Amino acid sequence: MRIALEGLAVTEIHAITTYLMDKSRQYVEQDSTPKIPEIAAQGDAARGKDLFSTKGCVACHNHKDHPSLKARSFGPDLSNVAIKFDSPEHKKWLVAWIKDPAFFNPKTFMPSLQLSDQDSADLAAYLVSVKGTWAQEVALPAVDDVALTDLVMSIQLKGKTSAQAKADVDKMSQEEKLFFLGEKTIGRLGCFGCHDIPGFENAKGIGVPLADWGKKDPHKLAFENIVEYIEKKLGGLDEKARAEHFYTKNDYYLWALGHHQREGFLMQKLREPRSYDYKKIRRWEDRARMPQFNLTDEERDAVATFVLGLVSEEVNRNYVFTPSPERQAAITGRNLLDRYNCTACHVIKPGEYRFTPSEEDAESIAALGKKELDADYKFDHSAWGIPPAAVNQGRNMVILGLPDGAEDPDSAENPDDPKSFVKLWSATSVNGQVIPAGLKLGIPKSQLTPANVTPAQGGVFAEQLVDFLLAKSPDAANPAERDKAWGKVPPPLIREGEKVQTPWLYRFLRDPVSIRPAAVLRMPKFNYRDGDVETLANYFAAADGVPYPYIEIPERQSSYLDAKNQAHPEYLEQAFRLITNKDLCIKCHPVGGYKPLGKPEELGPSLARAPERLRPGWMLHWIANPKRLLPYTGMPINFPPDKEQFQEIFKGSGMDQITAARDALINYNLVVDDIMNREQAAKTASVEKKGDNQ
Amino acid sequence: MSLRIWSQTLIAGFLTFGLVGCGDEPRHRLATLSDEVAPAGSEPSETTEAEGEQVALAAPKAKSGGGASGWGTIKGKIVWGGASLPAARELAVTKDQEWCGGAGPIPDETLVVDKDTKGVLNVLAYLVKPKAIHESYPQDAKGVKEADAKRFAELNGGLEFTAEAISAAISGGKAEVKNLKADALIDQIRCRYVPHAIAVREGQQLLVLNPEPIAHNVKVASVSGKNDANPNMPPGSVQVFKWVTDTSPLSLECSIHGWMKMYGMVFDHPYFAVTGKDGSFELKNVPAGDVALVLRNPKFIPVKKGGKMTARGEKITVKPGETVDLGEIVVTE
Repeated sequence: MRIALEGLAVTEIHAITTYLMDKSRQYVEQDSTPKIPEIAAQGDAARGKDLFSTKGCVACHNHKDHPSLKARSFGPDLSNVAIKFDSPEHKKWLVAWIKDPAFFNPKTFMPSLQLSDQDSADLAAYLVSVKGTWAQEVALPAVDDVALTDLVMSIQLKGKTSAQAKADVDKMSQEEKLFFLGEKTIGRLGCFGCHDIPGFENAKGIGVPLADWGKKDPHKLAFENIVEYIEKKLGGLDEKARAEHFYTKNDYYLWALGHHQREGFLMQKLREPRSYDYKKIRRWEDRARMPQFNLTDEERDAVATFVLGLVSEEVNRNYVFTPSPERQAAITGRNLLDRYNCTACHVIKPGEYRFTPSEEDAESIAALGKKELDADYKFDHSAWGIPPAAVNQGRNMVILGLPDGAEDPDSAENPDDPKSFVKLWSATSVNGQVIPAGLKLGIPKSQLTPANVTPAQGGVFAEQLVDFLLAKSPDAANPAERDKAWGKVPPPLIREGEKVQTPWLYRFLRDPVSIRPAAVLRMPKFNYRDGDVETLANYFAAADGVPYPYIEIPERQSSYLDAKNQAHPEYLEQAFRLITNKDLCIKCHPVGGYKPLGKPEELGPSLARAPERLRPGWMLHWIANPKRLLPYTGMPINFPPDKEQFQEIFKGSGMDQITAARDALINYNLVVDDIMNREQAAKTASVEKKGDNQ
Repeated sequence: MSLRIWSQTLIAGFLTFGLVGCGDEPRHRLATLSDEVAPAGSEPSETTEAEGEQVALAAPKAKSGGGASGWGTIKGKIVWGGASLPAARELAVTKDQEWCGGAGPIPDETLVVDKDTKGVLNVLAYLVKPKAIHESYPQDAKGVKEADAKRFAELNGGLEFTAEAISAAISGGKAEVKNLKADALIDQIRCRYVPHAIAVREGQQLLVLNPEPIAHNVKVASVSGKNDANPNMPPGSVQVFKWVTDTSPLSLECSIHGWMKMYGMVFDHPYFAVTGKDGSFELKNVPAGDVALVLRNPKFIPVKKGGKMTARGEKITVKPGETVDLGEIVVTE
């Protein structure tokens, strides 16, 4: 009797299931098993739904309730997760997992999101409240005893006479047959390659060794009837589909397949592993076993390139890429940013936009750039300028920036081609005029074609969260709201190396403290693998070409401070008055015992962290004109070059005041110590004086 | 005429003039300034006209049929149509409470309805891309700038209208911040912008005063990015903004005192107004023929008439020498 192939496959599924069920053990809690932490908070699912958007879950996990926040599937889709948590104990576990995943799995890539107990409970309540579409009952045909016996027999026949085999099989119960077939099937298909399966602890992989596949003799490759298979397949397509087919577009691979080259064999093996069985007569268990992996054309190309390069030969050192330590740090760090999914939240590199403004627009952009630069300090910095040789004399513009909303067509100057806006993160030029960073430029929608835009690297979640927060704002159309929303989401890490001191970044990654009061979510705490924190901390400095890990801070050197004191007696103490003056820094930033009032979005980071966190060069640029470095910031220009202000607090030009404020901050400990010593001395003096009077 | 779409819940604040309980302090300027300073448009208020100090920046008396195609006037009055006045709301003063809240609570001015006239204040009324500019107005930004400079000098005893000159005059004791005058002027009074809405013509400079004992900053944000700026304003300082034409309203905010918000708009023509206490507006000497009128509310939502009026404007036909009176334009939530 001929048994349909499907019947055989179903029988094997029954068999594998029997084997796995039979080998499974009830989980027994040991005395040493840590107890699930008790979290008393009662979850609120409605609140949890909002938190799912704002706390960063969607940066890694997709969920059907949040279609607009599309993650790149770093973690599993959670739409159907509720079915897994059907008992109070399970729910308790979920709350504890969300709160601190490393408690259960120290190596998990899911970080601690630094959530409160209440937030964790709310999120768990939300996840279990969503009715999923799992688990659907699948109608599986009952075990077909004939097929089962046939398959077992086929295996037993190896190395036995048919009489022996039949006698052995006849002795087996159906359960035994299933178990036997299950074990053989798991072994044949190599399930243990990815899964831990009891009984297969020492099993060897089923695939061909690839260590020197790149020089494998093509004559040893079994091309079988593949050419006929491909001809039939392509022939069955209509003209349009054929023109779109991979092999039509990449005819090299088709040629290589037709000419029995390794490249052709490998690409087809990756595309349709089992197509080599086409029109071959094989025993059931001898058919090709490699599964069809869900790879894109690009990924297959990459895998093929790699495998073809496996020739197990020493490569001439001249041809081996040996980067400098800095370049190496930038490369390995960049890979880690993807490995920990940092790039879901943080923009690493701004987008690039190429467009040609109208003559009128180019003139007004140039006028705006001139107006801004005329009223600004002159710095040799990529946010303020570009090399003179690179200044573009014409109208074609290339700008680096982040998208910043679009014109309402009704209000557009040209309603047929409204503009989208980009905030510049780097200086550019047009008509011979430098345009500094921080400005917003409009690009006609018609020019925003994929060919003209290289999107930003990273930060998809941040951009989505900005849109989410804007949609919730009662004043969403106000152009100031987008800037404020950016202040609440994970910050772009453009020029991060130039900004922060590498040792501080190392400590921050280990223990991410809260920095910006307005942020709606916290930087998560990841379970970094050995050495990864160092690599990540170094990456930013290496990418920006600034020194690391040791950083010189000349502004702390006694020679520097002595010179300043010569020119300006009591330099640091006078300078510190700029920080603590009621109309300057402490208006928004907590520092030195002052804590400003205000809503979170009206406040800035504590300045007490600045001396160990920020690099002095960056601080100078930042204080001079904050929006050049962070185009969305609410921090104003406090010491403009064209006005003499705050002379009674610290006498000097705007740049003198900027330098003084920076010096006072970078020497914060010293200043505070000096001030306290002075106060102490004054107190002692006054006590002595009193004593004299008596 | 009834205006339907103020789609969001608009919250009222009253520009009630008895707001400031002055005590024994000198009479607070809030009371005087609102009357004194005309909405800084091209349209003269009764007060300024009465002062007889008009220069070319403002509209002179309409000439009948001046210009080839003729000129006319558009006027109207935006009034609250709700059964009761919108509920008054106060803003949460979260910083510098002693000074900012020192003269009583600060009203939310998102929607301001005058309780006597039911006029809706702070609505921008303007034409979109008018075909011509009447000869009585400066024809371009350069002309506006000259007229503006002249007017500023007249108002301030010959003072030059530059930030440097004004600052020098202040530090030299020759001028006082609180006494400075300008057609386009924003004052900051107890952590509140006065006025709440301002409209200027390109070329016209905007003077921002901080006569207060505390620091502010003025973050200007625009959809187009053309007018963005964020200077600080130490106590007793001024800022001079030179805005360029923009098709959407600008937002002005103090980042330090987050509740301080106002909005402004810049035009390349003189046909605009901000509704005052009784909700009325009047655009004089507009070119005859079809023009597009926009009424725009504080939340950047275009006021729509019968669902049709958008930021592109509502078509209105003006006959030479005549006045188109739109009557009461009723606004509801």
